[in-house]
Amino acid sequence: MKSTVSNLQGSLFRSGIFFSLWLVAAEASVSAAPGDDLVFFREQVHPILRENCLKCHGEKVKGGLVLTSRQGVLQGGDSGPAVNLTDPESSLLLDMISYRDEDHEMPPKQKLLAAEIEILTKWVVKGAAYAPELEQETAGEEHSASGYLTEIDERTRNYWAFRSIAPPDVPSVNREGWNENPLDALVLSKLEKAGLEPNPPATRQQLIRRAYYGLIGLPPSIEEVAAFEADESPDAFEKVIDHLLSLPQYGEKWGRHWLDLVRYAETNGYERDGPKAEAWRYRDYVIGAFNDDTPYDQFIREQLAGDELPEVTTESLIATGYQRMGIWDDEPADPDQAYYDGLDDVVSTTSSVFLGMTVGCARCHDHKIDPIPQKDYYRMLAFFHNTLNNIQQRQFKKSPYTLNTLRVIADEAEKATHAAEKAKHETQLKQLEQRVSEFEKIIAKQFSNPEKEDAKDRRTRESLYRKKRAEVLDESQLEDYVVAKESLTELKRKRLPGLTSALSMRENGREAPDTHVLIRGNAHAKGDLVQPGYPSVLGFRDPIIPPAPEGVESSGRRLVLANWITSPENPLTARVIANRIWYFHFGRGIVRSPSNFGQNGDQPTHPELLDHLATVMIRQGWSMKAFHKTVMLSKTYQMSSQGSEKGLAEDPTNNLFWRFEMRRLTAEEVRDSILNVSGELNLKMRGPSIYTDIPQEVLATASRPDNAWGRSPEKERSRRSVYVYVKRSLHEPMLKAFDSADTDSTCAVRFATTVPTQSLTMLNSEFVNLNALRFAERLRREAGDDKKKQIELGLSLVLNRTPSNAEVSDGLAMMKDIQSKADLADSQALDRFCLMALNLNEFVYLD
Amino acid sequence: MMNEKPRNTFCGQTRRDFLHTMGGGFTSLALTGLLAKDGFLNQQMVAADGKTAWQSPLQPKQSHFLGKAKHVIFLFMYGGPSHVDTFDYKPDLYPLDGKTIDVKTFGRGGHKKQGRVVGPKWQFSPHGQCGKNVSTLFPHLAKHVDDMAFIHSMTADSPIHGSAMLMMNSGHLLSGRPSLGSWVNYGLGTINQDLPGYVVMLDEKGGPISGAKNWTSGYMPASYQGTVFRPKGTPILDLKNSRGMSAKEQRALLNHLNHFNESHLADRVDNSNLAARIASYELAFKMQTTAPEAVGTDKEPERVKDLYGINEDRTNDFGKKCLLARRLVERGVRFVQIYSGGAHNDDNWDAHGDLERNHNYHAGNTDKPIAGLIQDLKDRGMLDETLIVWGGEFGRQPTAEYAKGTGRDHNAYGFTMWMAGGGIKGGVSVGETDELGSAAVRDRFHVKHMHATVLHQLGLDPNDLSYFYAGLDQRLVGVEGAEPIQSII
Repeated sequence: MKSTVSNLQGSLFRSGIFFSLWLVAAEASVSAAPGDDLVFFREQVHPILRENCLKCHGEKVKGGLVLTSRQGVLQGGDSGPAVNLTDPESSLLLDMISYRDEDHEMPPKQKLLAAEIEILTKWVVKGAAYAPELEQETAGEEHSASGYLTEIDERTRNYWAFRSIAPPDVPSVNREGWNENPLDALVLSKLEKAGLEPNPPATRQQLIRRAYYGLIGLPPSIEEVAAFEADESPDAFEKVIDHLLSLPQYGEKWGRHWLDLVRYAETNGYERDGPKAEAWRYRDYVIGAFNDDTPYDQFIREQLAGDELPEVTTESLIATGYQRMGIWDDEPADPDQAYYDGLDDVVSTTSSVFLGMTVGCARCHDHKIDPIPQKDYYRMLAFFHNTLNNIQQRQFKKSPYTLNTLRVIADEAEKATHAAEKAKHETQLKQLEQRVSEFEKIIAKQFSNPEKEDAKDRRTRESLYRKKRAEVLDESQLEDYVVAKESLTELKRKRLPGLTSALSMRENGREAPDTHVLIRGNAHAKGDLVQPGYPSVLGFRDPIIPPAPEGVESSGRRLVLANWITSPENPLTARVIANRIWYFHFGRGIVRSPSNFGQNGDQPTHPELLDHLATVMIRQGWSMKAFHKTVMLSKTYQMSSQGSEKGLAEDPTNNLFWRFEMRRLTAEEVRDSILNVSGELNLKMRGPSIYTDIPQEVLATASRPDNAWGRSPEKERSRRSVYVYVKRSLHEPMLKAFDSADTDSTCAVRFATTVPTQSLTMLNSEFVNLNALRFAERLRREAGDDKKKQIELGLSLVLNRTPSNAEVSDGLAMMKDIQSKADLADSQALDRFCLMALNLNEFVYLD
Repeated sequence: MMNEKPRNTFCGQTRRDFLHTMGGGFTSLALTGLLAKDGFLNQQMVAADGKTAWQSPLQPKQSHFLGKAKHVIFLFMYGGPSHVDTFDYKPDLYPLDGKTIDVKTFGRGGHKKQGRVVGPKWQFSPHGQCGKNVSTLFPHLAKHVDDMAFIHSMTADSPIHGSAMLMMNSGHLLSGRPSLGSWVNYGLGTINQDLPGYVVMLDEKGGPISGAKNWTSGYMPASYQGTVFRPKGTPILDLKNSRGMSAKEQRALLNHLNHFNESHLADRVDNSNLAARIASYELAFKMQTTAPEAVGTDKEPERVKDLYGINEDRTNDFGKKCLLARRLVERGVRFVQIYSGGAHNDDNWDAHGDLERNHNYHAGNTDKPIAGLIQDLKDRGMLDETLIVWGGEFGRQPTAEYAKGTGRDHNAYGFTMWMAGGGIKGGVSVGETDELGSAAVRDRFHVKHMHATVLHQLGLDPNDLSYFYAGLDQRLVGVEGAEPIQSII
């Protein structure tokens, strides 16, 4: 192939069409007989369509477009009519096949031949005649009945999750004590109907262990177990619950649940995986909110609109960091699309976390399963449309949505101190500059003419000063100059610490931009204009957005959304949170898919119970602590987890709650419990995150192994897992091994896998081995030299109960056996025993 | 009716049931399936409906249809090799060297309409029966062109490393999705219980950008994520006791651990998770011998080591990894990914500065080992069932990135990948870029078509293999679906 530069250029313009449209048009005006048009269509046009287009726009209905009939052509697809009869040359179909615009190139596999494009162009210009015998009805798999109700009508409005919450009639049941709490009556009545018995109560030891891990994520001490076992007062368990709810560790445990839901992480992901400055303040806010028992409705309002509230507080500003926790590409291939990806993150997370609705599925088209039209997605997006989406900018630098996400939250005292220091710094700077400049003026006087010219460049000037200073200045001047110059450089380098700031939400101004439906979710294909609105199926009136208070640079939209989400009339919010809390206690929700209450989620096993709990949630002022008490004081919560023959045979998945479900400790609980047993756990709260010791092999998987992870002082490394730095591209291996949450999108349900690599971690990792040694040290310290006492104490620390005699002798036998087999000293045998104890199933499973 | 769910079943369960499984507390059965093969847990297994036996996530599964390939070795040329300097011969490009021409490009430096051509820096010559033109960068690989299928018209959605890596590995620009290897293990399970089903080997210089995101299982359970294997030292994290405990001692410890755990289990026999955990310790113990055995490339005959270039300094590292890949595949590992290049800049194929130096280095390190891998697999009759995939996250532009020098910017408009083995046609080339190699113009294929081809060769229907998450049946190839590249099958 011989090409010259110029014809190469020609062929490289992918948008180029090598014939002129006016020629075709002129031709069309001469011969316009419909008969000819049909022949032309049959012989020339249709073969091209059949060969290149009809597979996706006939057999399938991609982009909503069918090209198997004239009507289909004129009607067009998601992007609009394929052919425009009044202005044929501007027809979308021609735009697409001529590859004029990168986002719209059809057929995607390769551009049609120029001759083919010419034929189709001619066809369009002549009015797109379609031979009737070649027209086809479309099968259209995308349009086939899915069996789901996606229309907004009486039936879907009456779907259980969309109906108003109604306190159920509570049946009366035939079992002593089960009528007191309606929750129990609702559970038992179902069991009675199925002919199943609820399990007997768990033992006191099982119950207190369950409650401790359930509320604070840590085990009870031996003394606490003993005290509870001995407490015969009727409110013994209530006292335990009250105690636990008063501990700050409660916020750490439940805050972690929330952090899973809001995809909490301290980096942005992608190539640089850059840090989200001050993200940890949001983590502390969440922990604090649980500890303070911030009512759930307020908790929502703060996170969605903490900057638009009538009373903005430091805490409410930090709370809006919720909207900043998502992944964020600082170097997107398509910045506009990435901007909408950022908004999508907030829309999808907000709708699934607070409402249990998968609104995110309607970004590109109407929801395929639930009655959520695409328009609703963009109505929801409109609430957030005035927000910004950047942290550190590269390509986004020049775009309109560039404003810093950090907000100063310093108090007046800090500001005053800061201002004083700044003033001091500036004065010093000025003085030094003046001093330096005096000397430099002297040196500059001695510059030759060419040097004067060169000195216009700052760098050259500096090097000239350096070169000439010794010959121009006398000794004492020189010394003064050098000292002043150095001090100046140092002072300039020293940056004053900034004011305390928070990662937070901030809008562009009081006016929100127009929001359009984006066709196929494409940021470059704007459709109809929409206004902020709620999912239509819920039947609420469209909101009127009152302007934000004077002086607030915000549209006020998010506050309206937050108020709607938290209004008692909202059918979803209370159901969703009640179900979540239930799931965290019982290991499964009444709706097993806690973030999807739609038709493709799970239907509630106990709809009346769910409504009862939602009612309780609202009635108790959205207090989570009160809700915990309601649930935990029930008979249902206090049942044993023991299997029963009938239960296992007839309801093996425990659909009816005939027993409490055993569960494995979460990743954080495993790590914290190991530290707790070894006596190393540091309960220090709050502050910037900590870095655990990560093995070199794991760091080597990062693209910058030396900068992949930080280092915290030893004592800090033993803090609770909720304080471990969350980096998107490098997971803490111990936590990851035990199924910590993936952080890229909301995580509603944790997996609990069992794989051999976990066993390798528990047997071989330095973390577990080191703590086993410390555990052994502790036993020697607290139980003395008596092996039996060491084992008794060791087992009771791990199992949170008094070990049986048999278990103690098994422990002794273990030590003796391993000692003889591996020729170990007594102390080493105890080390091994401690390692074994940390590996016990009973250590990581709760009854 | 609201409650009718006519479509979408997974492994005989409705996907809803499967979701329960994954999310509702029955999730720890990953292992139960592994053990089921030994009949270990048959007694304890409880199915979701109480009747059917449990399907574990990692149990070997029936593919959708009989696939040609059983294993995949993905040779990831991280950073983006230049197609016009390797396999996509552009004779017209040489004389244009240094000339500024009009050409639409999009790379790290943004959208450009003009650029200074950098003529290909290596000569091409035809090879094999098929006469495929290959550049002098790959003298050894050139001998195998009759076994290779070249796709010259690959396209991707992003010319930026971060998102492009995610796309090549997980089919999507946004992170959070499972990677190809996870999908394969999810779809087919693992064959060997003593080794991970999805192994990743990284460059000596470091991992690729985004690290573990590239082999994540995303929204699937962690059991499907890639396990990083090291060709030197201890192959898997925590495979050796950090305090040097001997195997004998460990065995004794495990015996006593089992004793305790069994008495705990006695009152809780219905909880298969507990039994699974007991067994997981036995598997872990076994893995401590099988994994080091698998990495024992030293025991291979000298002839084989020579084949992979292990006895030469340059090719030693990548050669070992290729040989290890063969040994892993031989032992049943389903998916192996090897990175050529790591970390940043010229530590990988990202030749922004000196193209010649960069590509001579990386090609020189990998040419012989990869050729050796193809030959070795062929000699052992394993090539038919092992699919090799070669490529980076994108290609490179025909023009220079800067005013001076030979560096090329990224190019996702068109680039080359090749496949071999696993039922792929040899000696074929499909698709074309334009005369400059700036963009694919003929038979354009997207990353998802490559993914679809891999799944298809393994006997999985890419449009059918789905995982229910966030209210959707998620697929590797996306909601729109994608067909495999028929012309190379």
